[in-house]
Amino acid sequence: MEDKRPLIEVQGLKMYFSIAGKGFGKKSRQTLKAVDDVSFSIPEGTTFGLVGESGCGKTTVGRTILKLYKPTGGKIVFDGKDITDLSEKEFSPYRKDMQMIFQDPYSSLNPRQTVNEIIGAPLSVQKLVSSKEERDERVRELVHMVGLKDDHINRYPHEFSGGQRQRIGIARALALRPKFIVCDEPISALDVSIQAQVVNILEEFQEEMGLTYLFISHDLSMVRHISHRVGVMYLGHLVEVADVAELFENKRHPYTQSLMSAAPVADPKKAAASKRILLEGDVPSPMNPPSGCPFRTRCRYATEECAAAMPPLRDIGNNHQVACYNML
Amino acid sequence: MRKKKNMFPETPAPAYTMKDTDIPAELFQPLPEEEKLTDVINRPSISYWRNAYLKMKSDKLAVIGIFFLIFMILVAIFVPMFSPYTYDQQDYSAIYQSPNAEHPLGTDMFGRDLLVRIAYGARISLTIGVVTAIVSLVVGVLFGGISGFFGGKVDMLMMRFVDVFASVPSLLYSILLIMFMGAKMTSILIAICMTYWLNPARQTRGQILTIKNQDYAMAAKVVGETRFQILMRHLIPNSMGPIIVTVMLLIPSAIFDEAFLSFIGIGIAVPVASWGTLANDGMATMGMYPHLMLFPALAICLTMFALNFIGDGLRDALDPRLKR
Amino acid sequence: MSEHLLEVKNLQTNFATGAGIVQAVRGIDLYVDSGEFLGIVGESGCGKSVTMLSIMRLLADNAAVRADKLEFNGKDLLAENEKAMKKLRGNEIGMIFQDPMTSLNPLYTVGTQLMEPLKLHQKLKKKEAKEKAIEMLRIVGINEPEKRINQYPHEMSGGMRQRVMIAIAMCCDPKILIADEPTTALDVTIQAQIMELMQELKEKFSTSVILITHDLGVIAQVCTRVVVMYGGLIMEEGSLDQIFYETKHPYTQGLLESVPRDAELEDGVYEKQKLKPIPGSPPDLMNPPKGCPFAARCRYAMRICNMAPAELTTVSEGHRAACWLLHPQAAAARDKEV
Repeated sequence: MEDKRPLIEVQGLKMYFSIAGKGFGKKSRQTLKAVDDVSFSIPEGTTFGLVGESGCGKTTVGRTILKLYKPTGGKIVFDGKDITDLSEKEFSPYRKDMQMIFQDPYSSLNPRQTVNEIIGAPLSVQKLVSSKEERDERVRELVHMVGLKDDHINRYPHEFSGGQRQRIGIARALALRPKFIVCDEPISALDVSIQAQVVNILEEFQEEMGLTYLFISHDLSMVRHISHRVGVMYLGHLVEVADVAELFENKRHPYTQSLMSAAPVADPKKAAASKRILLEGDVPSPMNPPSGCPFRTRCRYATEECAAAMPPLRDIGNNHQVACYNML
Repeated sequence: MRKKKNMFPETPAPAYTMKDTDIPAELFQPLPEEEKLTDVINRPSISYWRNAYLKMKSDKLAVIGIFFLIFMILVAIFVPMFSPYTYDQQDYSAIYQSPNAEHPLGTDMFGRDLLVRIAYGARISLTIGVVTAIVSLVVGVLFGGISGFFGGKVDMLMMRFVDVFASVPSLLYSILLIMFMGAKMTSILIAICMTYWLNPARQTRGQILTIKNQDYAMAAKVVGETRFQILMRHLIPNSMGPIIVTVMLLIPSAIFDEAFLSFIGIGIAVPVASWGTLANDGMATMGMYPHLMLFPALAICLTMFALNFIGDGLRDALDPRLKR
Repeated sequence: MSEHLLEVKNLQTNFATGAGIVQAVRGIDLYVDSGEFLGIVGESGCGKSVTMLSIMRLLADNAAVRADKLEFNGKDLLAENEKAMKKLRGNEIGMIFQDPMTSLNPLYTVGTQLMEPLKLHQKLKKKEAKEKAIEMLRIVGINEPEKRINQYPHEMSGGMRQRVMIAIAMCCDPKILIADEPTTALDVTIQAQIMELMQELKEKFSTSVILITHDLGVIAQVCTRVVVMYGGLIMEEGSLDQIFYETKHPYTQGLLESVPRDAELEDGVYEKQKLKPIPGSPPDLMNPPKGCPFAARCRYAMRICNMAPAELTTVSEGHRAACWLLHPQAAAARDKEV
């Protein structure tokens, strides 16, 4: 894997939102640090899994990379070029190469457009087709690629099931033949039997077209299945990054450990045998995070040192990085 | 527990049960792939507007409303054209007549034919309703659309402007305008439109703000659609439904406002007849000649009913939650 | 008088919609014994939630329910009036729903909402009710219950709200607790906490629990018996081990295979295999197929599967499956082929 050059590099990415607080005036505005100093890179043709619980900032990372938000700090490098400060117009040609699959198959398709219009729009917008016939032909091709039929092309989204709609969303993302796709929780709104369909489609396309994915999910078993490298996020920070096998066999960060032990296993014997590390309490509010390491309020190993400063991501060998003072 | 018989359609008994032991052996052969009917959608494809049309058609009250409205429009157009009388033609030999063969709805104190006057009033009322609706739709959608689409400071300024307009009672605009411009239809129209565009504007802005944050609007940005394309393809088509309903319901209240202004005596001036002035005239002699009050009032009421039924039907038909 | 705590025979629930009648539940038999932890698993639209709402008579006006038998604790629920049902719900039957935010009233404090059923059903005085409420909050693992009792739902996190919901459901010591996707809206670490809590409470109060979920992982952790539903019908039922290790129905098998195998997260090497998804989509219950609802997606489907639904057939003690493969002639046909 190391021999491949990185397609996406994120360095010290920061995304802060300004939120109106109680009272009037500028002083009452609070800062929500959705993503704070996150760095990782994704080699071409591989999948980087980003896991964490709701509100940890994983979705924001994906959206910021696609420049749907303007990052507060840090650098985003795509294919060797710094795209952080490009204007919408300068960035426009990159849109072809960077696409997104959304979580909610219901709200991500315009209810007034037919499948043909939804999948055809990117083709016309980026001027990849010169005639209506060419466009229709390409749409038909894409629809077949995701396992739908000709008969579906002129139907409206509400006539489809969740899994079918998600496949339409994938076809839209693939229409531009992108190099990189942000998959933002693409399976979490789907039924179990449908999740596997979508994951298989994504894997097939990766093999055929050498796609690079950022796979955002909270489902650890699926992340383990599809990813080559995995990052664990907690309250806007990346707390552990490693190649998938290394991470699952040699998890170091206490949060990663408890997250994995909490994941339900669909096997009664193993479920009975496993010892769970139950975390106390809830995730703190990102508006008012604890000082130092954000996880220290729920961590069994927390010391005074943890409250003082955020531990940096340190390499422990094997291309494995952990942000923790105690578990090295 | 409510038991409705028709809720449980009879299903034919299954061809075979597990207890049968003499099922033809070929039935246990694998099912060919082409007979596996998966991913097949049996229902016909229905677009949003077609679905709305079908729903509207099945709504009896709305259909009655539409027919009544068409009837009223025909009356407004043709009765004054073909009637032997004009709306201001006086005939002192035939004052205060009850409905009869020559004057189907009777005559008033100057012997003017009430049917023609009501039909003429319908022209005024319907024109006011329709023009108000069109003006407030265009102005409201443009204003609210721009405000919601650009957001930020532009939005703030534009919405404060709306607030200022809305803070003055509409009656005040009407009285002032009529004083300046005279009691004409144009002045009443302008007065009514001044306040009627505010609601659609606010609503459009709200709709645009909501839809702007929908995933499909974000998806459009991801594939590179420009802001203008997003506005035209996603924001406007998806916000039209509820706005059309609002505007539709503005028609009856605009008609009513005009009738009210005329009724209290600051609306359309004599001898031109609007439903409000007719009702006002009729009220003076209500005890003696009730038909002079009754018919204009009926015209107002029935038209209000019809328009409200249509509006309600549209609301149901254009419900944003498109049910499967 | 039935020997089961809750027994349902041939339950059917239909909904009238603009486009036609949706047959959400198409004739299912179900029972729950005391002290049992029953799991009902199935995909969205399979009728699992509707089944429970039908039993509780909590469906909207456009629904019609009929059953040959619907007995709870010796009472015929179909014959009870709305007042008696209200008394039953919350007192003898506790319920938890998926979204703790919408099932709590935002206008009242947690304490008020917790004391309400105690005063109503248990006829407790205000002071006693308050003590009991604090006690219940402590049992469901909420710190400083004396303080929390005066808070409003929006001041609590999702996990905490679900704990409050559980406290409300359990406060009258119900005979049965129905939990409809209680952890779906929660994060993994919070989900683990809630499942642990439900298990503890079940042991402490010896309540029967019906857990409705789409997540086989959750089922594997806590249930003793499992019912698998698909297309408004029961496909398979049996003990936890029978369902997971002696799977008889191809649908159950498909569900088990579509999650990554051996993905035990504790340790061990993950051998990556291609996932085996179930192709296609669930049937449209407005025009349900006349045969087995799963036939269209089943890799073992036979011609007969499209002609008639298979009834539930006993495979072994307590284990039943609805599949034509279990018909003696099916085995004979396959033997011949081999």
